[in-house]
Amino acid sequence: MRFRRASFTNFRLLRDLELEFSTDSKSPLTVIRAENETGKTTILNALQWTLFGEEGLPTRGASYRIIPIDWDTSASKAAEIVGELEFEHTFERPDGKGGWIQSTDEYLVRRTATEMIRGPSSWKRNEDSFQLFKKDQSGYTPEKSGELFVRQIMGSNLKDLFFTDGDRALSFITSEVPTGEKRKMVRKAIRDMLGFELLENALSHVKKSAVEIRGEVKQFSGADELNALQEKMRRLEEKEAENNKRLSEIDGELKQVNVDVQMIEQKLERALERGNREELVKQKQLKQSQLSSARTRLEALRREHGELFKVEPLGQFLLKDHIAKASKILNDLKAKGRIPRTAIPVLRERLEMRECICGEVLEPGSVHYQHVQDLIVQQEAASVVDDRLTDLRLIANQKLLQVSTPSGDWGNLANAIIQRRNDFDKQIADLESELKTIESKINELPETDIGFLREQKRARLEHKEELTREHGIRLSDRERLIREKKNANEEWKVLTTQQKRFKKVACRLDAATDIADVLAASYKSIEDSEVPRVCNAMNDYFLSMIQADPENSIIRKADISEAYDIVVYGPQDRLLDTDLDLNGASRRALTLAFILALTEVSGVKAPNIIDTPLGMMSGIVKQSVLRTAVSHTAQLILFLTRDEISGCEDIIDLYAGKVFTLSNSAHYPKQLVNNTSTANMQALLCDCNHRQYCDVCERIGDGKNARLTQRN
Amino acid sequence: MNPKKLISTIEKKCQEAPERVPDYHEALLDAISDIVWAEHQHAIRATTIQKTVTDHCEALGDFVYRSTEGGKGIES
Amino acid sequence: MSYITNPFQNLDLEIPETLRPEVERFCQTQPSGGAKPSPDDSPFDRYIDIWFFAVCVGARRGKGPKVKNSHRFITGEILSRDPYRIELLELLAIADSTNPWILENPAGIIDLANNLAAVGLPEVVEMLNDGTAKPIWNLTDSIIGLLPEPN
Repeated sequence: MRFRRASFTNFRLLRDLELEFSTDSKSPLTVIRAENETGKTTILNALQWTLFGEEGLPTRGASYRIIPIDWDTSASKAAEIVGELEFEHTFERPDGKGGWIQSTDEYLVRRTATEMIRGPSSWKRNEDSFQLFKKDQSGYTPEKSGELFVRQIMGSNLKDLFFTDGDRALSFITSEVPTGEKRKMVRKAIRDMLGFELLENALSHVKKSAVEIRGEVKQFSGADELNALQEKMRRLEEKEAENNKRLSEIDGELKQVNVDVQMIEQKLERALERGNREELVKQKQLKQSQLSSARTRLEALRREHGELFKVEPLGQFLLKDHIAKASKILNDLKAKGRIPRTAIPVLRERLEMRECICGEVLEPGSVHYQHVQDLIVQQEAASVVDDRLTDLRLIANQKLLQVSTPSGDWGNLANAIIQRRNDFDKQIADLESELKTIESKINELPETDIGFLREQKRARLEHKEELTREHGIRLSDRERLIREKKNANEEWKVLTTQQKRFKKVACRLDAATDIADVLAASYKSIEDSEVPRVCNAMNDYFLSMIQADPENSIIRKADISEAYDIVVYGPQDRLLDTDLDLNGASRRALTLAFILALTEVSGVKAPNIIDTPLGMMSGIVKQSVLRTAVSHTAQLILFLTRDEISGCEDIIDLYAGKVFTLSNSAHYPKQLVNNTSTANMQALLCDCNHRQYCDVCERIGDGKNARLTQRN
Repeated sequence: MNPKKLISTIEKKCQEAPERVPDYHEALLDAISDIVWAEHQHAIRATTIQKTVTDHCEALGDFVYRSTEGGKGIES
Repeated sequence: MSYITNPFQNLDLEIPETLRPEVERFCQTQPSGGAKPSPDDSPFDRYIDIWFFAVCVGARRGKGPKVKNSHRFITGEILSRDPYRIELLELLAIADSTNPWILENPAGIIDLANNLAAVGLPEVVEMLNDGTAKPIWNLTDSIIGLLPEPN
């Protein structure tokens, strides 16, 4: 940041003042020559008010009146106060490739406020208005959040470091300020400038964030559950794979079984077309039984056939002629009355009647009676043969009759037997043929055992039934497993989401930890490296400013103690009392060295606006202080009195890009030679440099000052 | 402190942090820069700094998470 | 006194010794024991059956010379089992002798029968063997051949 121009209206003595500052990096010095009570401090305050508002004013503006003290209330009791500051600022941002990009922009800060006089010592300032404009090709464009922007590029808490005066700067070392306060100031300055506080605050907040995040980490306790679920899911996957594999096998087996059954059925069909072995065996047994029965009957028939040769009709047939001849003989006997004999019954009847056929009485015991009885006996003896002949005659006749009857005809009997035998023979032959056919069929069936096939089919169908049952169970299992897997997946999703959240939170915790570590490391790095650099720089600048010889002079070394005391060492590292052992110039030099060192080491590019830094200095020290200061700042704006300038003109010649002279119109005629003819007390600016004076700024004695020349 | 200087110091320290995922160091530097920036703003005016810092920490963590296998495809 | 039912019961029935093997072959009765042959091979049940059939066949030829060497295979008592044979033998004897009272000489009747049997047996054997069929069928066919042609 570099100031380019400032203007103030109605800011105390600065009724209407415009300043320009050198922005030349080779001539970074702007000198505003001003004697006491000419408005140096007012400009300092006006600049700070313009930038920071009330906060930039002493006592934070609480009792700081801005309206000019000689404000003419007859015209208006209120005055509009305006502060404007143009500055440029160079932004640096990482280019993402390890380098930095720089860009410089110009801005205009404008702050206005109205302050009203209420009484002799009473005034009221209303809330000011702040505007920031960015300069571009089209002019000035208002920027939002301008005040914040200004605070960001030039922290208000650092304003004391950049806007200071020689007396105020001494507060870092003077015994007038309590040690604790000094340390606090030094520490704060260092911490602010080097970013410690920023890092510390950041670290503190990051640690709190880490604690918050860690709280979330603790809340996740599903790791074991997730492991168990993972194991469960693995088992489910295994089971499903096994189940599916088995299902696939069952499908294959079922297809095979169906093919088997189909093949068996085809075999069975073909076999059944040829005959069922079992059935055939049964048929065979039946035929055998029938055959056996037929053979038995045939045997009986054979015997019956054999009987034919001993039956009566055969004899009658063969002896027919003899029977006929005998019959005739016997019939002849009958015809002759030889048979049958009939005397015996008659004789017996007569005996019973007791009267003979001759009429004689037959008395038992009588000769006659006896005679008749003897006759009966004789007749009876001869009649045995006669009776037989009688019978035979009848028998012969009967036999002759029988021969001509069908039942007596042996031919009929024989034919009947023959017929029956032929029938039987045919029947047996048929049975034998059938049996043979059956046996032949059976013999053809050795490889197609229908029973075996049926058993095979039954076994296959049983297997199919088992497979179908298992298939059903497996399908049900699959459904169940899919369900369980789905549930597990849902659970998994929930847990993994939690876990992912956990991981996410863990990552966040890692990140927070890393950030904290980096912040802490950066802090330590800055503390370890930058603070010593500040110390070294301060020591260098200080010794350079006071032209001290590190080997021989009393002041040997300046340092910042661990307790943040700015200390000075003398010979043998003896600690010097900055109040007692250092003169005023050295004390101012020391504080300036501290400010410059701190600013330089911090790398902050900001103007150092210092009021009367060279007071109490003279000679070579003064020059050294000025030279050192201007050599180590980006922009140095010094308010110098003629006395301070005295002896440093050459240095100012060398480094100053801008030099103005500020006068107070109220100093006429006591201090100013000429009347500026202003109606009010006000600061007057002229272009006179450190070697010039003019009608505006000529002070009494200037004309006699050999270092000054009158400007036309 | 000059931001460049501060960031340079932080950047060096970021390089010493574990490279959890590719480009982590850059992301870490960005996060810390943002936090420092937020702290800077907070120093100037009251801001909800704690939440902001936590947000930045979480954002960096989320970057790590997204860059890891487990975080791919997960909505933030 | 009544007529004796079997007047031949004590008389010996005989076959020529020379034809004894043939008789044995064609009869069921096997003197040496053992299983009975089939009726087709041995159509006659017992000796008495072939003997009586031979008597009938012999009767159609007439008496022959007295057989010198006969085999008495049984007594006439066997005839009681088939009384018609007694009747036919008596009628045969009456016809043959034209003497009804030959009945009073049963031995004569049996002699006649034995004689006729001896005459008939060779023919019977021939009948049994005449043909390519079993003896029973040869015999049957032979006997049928003797039957008058049906009108």
